[in-house]
Amino acid sequence: MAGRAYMGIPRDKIPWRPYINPDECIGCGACMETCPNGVYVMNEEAGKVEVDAPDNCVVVCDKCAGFCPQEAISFPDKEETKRLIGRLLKEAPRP
Amino acid sequence: MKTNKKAILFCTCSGACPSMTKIDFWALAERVRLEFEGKIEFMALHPRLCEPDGERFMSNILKEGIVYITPACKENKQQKLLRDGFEKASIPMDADHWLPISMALEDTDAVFQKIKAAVEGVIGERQTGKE
Repeated sequence: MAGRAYMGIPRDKIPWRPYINPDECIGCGACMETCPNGVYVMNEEAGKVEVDAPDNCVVVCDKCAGFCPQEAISFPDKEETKRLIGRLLKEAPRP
Repeated sequence: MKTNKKAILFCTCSGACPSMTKIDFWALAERVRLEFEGKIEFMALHPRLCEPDGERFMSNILKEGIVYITPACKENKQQKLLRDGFEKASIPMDADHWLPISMALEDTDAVFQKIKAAVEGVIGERQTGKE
């Protein structure tokens, strides 16, 4: 979804997205049931979930990871991401 | 305990959720305020009720004796994402306390109509129950 922004920051400047460890994922779909934004898709052939739309992930939301019974989902460091957002907000041109 | 009291608690999903791009949250909030003055206990918007600060917010303001109408993501997602907030407030997520509304892929007016139906539904149902 090109052109989307988070607090005025282009979404593609914020590298926040989930990563799934395919060795751990058992394809239960708990992450898909939790995420309201269609970030995940089931790879039926592999029997595992994959990240399909990483930029649909709401910035600094990692709620899905808590519902994964395998702890297979990881995210970038939340505090570092918050610091990055702070820097980007300072750099953003004022209207 | 059944009650006629209602409150509306929006979760705007950061204001940047891809499924809520057609909603003007401030216009919606103002319309709800104007339309339901005197009919609801309060209305509040929070950008992320499913995060720890949102859950603390819920634990501070939710109390027994009010039905909480929650316009947010899809109802079945709310069941999971708002669970901890309700739990911390010691309010059960049952029909006597909670009425979820999905704002996913809706526009401002559609969400308003859903809220209106929910508010009037709670009033109507409770009054019918009393008679």
